[in-house]
This record gives sequence, structure tokens and C-alpha cells, in this order.
Amino acid sequence: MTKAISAVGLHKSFGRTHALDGLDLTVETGEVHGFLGPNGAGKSTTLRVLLGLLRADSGAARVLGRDPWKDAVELHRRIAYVPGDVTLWRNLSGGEVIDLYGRLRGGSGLDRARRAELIERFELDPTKKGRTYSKGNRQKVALVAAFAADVDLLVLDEPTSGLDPLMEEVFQDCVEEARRQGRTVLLSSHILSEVEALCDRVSIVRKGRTVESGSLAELRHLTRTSVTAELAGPPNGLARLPGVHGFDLRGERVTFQVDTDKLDAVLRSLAASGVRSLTSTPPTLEELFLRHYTDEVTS
Amino acid sequence: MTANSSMRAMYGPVFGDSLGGLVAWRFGTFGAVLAAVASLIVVVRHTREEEETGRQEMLSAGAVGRRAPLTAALLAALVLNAAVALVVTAGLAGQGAAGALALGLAIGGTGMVFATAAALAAQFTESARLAKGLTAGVLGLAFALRAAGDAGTADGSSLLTRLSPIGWAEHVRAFAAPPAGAGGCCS
Repeated sequence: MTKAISAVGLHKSFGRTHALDGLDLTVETGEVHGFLGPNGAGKSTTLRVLLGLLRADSGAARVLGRDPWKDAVELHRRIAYVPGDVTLWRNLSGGEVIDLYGRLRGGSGLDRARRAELIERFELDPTKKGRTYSKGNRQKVALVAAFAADVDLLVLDEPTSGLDPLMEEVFQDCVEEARRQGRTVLLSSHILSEVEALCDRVSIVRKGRTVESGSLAELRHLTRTSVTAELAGPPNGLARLPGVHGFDLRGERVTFQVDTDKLDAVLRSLAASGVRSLTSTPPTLEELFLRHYTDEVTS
Repeated sequence: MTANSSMRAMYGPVFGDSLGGLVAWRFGTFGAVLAAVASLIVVVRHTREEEETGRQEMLSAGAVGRRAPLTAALLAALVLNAAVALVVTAGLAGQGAAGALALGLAIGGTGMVFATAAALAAQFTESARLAKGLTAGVLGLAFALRAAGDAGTADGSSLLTRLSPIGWAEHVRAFAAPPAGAGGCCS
């Protein structure tokens, strides 16, 4: 079994709202998979379906080779989950909640040494009561419990939304460690730099559908590189080359975007004109992300 | 006192003039209502409220069956009501074991009826407030039915009383003289 998660054509409606509208998702075993989309795109609903917390109206889903709804209890022994908004019991301390989450998976609970190490790294005070924790600290409680667990799959739903940048770094280290240990990670996120740094592949969802899925390199290929150049001579016919967009000439300085797969021909044309300086910016995930959304708005 | 219909509406009819009988009269209905309120709070607290706050999500993501939360809430209510029944029985045992046990079970049993009502309400509502409100409404209705029934009849034999779960507790007739023909099983 090489696919940790495969979902095909998931539909889920809440009353009149169609949260999922034929969503597809494939996560290979051992990869860190980014799950991107705007608020209300259906990310959390998808994760809840994959955890068997919700039942999809239609569509097929397999998680670690099993049915997430029917085999939920068995599957949950092999899955750790961090929800986007962690709520704790007011009178249990953070440490008690971590132990509770660990024991809920059955077996002997969490590895003590690993638990202590993670509490240290996340700078969490485990003796404080649940009601006194800030959002970031509540999230740390769930993160420590998840990363200390010996599981095959980590399902993280915007886990860093309350963490400060320092803790964000600790989080990224922990995900890296999980990857090295051979665990599969499904990371839903808003933070594109985090996804770029961590994820092997990403799926972008919008309005309950997957609009794009692939490795970051593959996805970048679909987008445009920004080029700024100072030319020695006139840019002969550059503006009319296929794949060139937003061409702008100011004196000797040209700026334009080019479809990444047409870059070669454009560079030849640039070189023919004589290049004094050249900067080319590869597309960021952000541009990819924005393009998907603005496309939708204009269409 | 049984002749006064407003007293009957508050406390129900008097079934016996022993100390146990009077305790059952003054405390029986009141105790049953208390057990019902405690039970509905416990059940809603561990079902709808856990889900509403989001705490349930992490529990359900553990190796916990889908029916576990409801089962656990009803078990908690059962333990609560068993404890209430035990305390009532032990406290009144000196006045007659059978009557004490009957009153204890009547009060604890009423608690379980409303624990079940709360469990149902929690399945049909989105918020804990509404679930508690609905169950409390049912409790109020049960009390009103019993009060109306008892106000109208001197011996609690009204149909209205028989329709009310609180009336059922009353009909256990703890510490009452056994009705004619019932034999000696409860004396």
C-alpha cells in the first residue's frame, strides 16, 4: 500500500451548503502533503471525513488502506490529529491533557522521554490549567501529544495559526523529524512559506473541489516567471513572443512575465538584444495561489 | 392536609401518617425534581456541551467508539442516581426498609427518566442551552401535569398524574399502607 490517503469524488452538504463538491485527494505514504485553500474551501470538512468524524454523502475514501468511517476506532490508533482550534478542559493541566490524548489511542500512552523533550522544545508549561492557556499554548498541547505519538499518519489542521515565529520553526523541525521517521503528514495550512518549506506535494482546494494537485515543481511549471532586464538594444519582437505577458518597456528596462515553459525562447530573444542586467524571480506559491483565486473571480 | 387541593398540587397526596410517610410526602416530589435537574445537567454537559465547545473532536479522533460519549454520559447519570437512591434509602432505613428503598428508587428512577430525556434532547439540538431548556421544559410540564392531577383528586388517581414521570414516582407510594388486594409485599 503506497497511498496513505486516497479520496475520490467526496461530497458533503450541510443543509444547503455544499462543503465538499467532488473533492479528490491523494497522499503518498511517507510524504508531507500540503492542503491549501481559502477559508471555507472545505479543508477542515475533508480532514473530518478522513478521520471518520463526518460521513461523506458520496464518494470513496481510504485512509491507510481502510475505510475511515467503518474502521474509525482501529484507524485512530495509527493517526494523530491536531484540530485548528484546540479546546481544553478548564480544570485539567496541559500535561494531563497530553497524557489523556496519548492514552486515548490505547496501548501504553506516549513515550515519556519524547513527551518531555517536546514540552521543552515548544516551551510549554504543562502544569498550568487548561483555562489559563492562550490559543498558541492550547495548540502546543495538541502538537506535543501528536508529535510524541507513535503513529503512521499525522493530520494537522492549520496547526500553527496561534504560534509565534520561533515556535513555527520548532514546528517545522518536528514535521521534518516525522518525515525522516517515515510518517505521513497531511498539513492543511494558510501559511505558504510553511508549505513551501515542508511539503513534497500540495493540493489546492477551492469551493469543495481540488483545483490543482502535484509537486511544488510541477505546479510552478504551470505559472509565470517574472523577468526584469536592462537591454543594450531594442527588444525586437519580444512582446509578441508566445508566453510573454504584461510586457512593459521603460527606456532600456523591460519587465514582463513569461510562462515558465516558454522561458527558453524568450531568453534567446533577450540575449539577441544584448543584456546588461537580468533578474528573474521564480513564481512563489503565493502567486500560484492568488492566480487560482483571481482566475475564479474574473471568470 | 390532603383535603387542601393547593397543598396536594405542591406536594401530592399524603399516603401515610408515619414519619417515613410524611418525609415521602414532603420530600418525594421535591427530591425527584432535584434528581431530574441534576441528571439533565450531567447528561447535556457530557454530550451536547462537549461537542459544542469542540473538546469532543479530539476525543472522537482517539480510539473511541462513536457511541461512547452518549454511553458515558448515561452511565454517569446512572451512577449519580444510584448514589441518590442509596443515600435516601440509607437515610430513611430506620423508618422501614421497604419504604426507604421504594422512595430512593422512585427518586433515582425519576432522575434516569430525565437523563434519558436530556440524551434525546441533546441529539436534536445544536446548543447545550437549548438541550437543557427543552428538557427543563419537559420537567416543568411533568410537574404541572402531576400538580393538576393531584389538585383534582385526593388519592393521586388522576389520569394527568399517571401521565407525568413525577407522578410515577408518587405512585410508588413509599411508606403508604398497601392498597387493598396488593398483599403484603411492600409493607
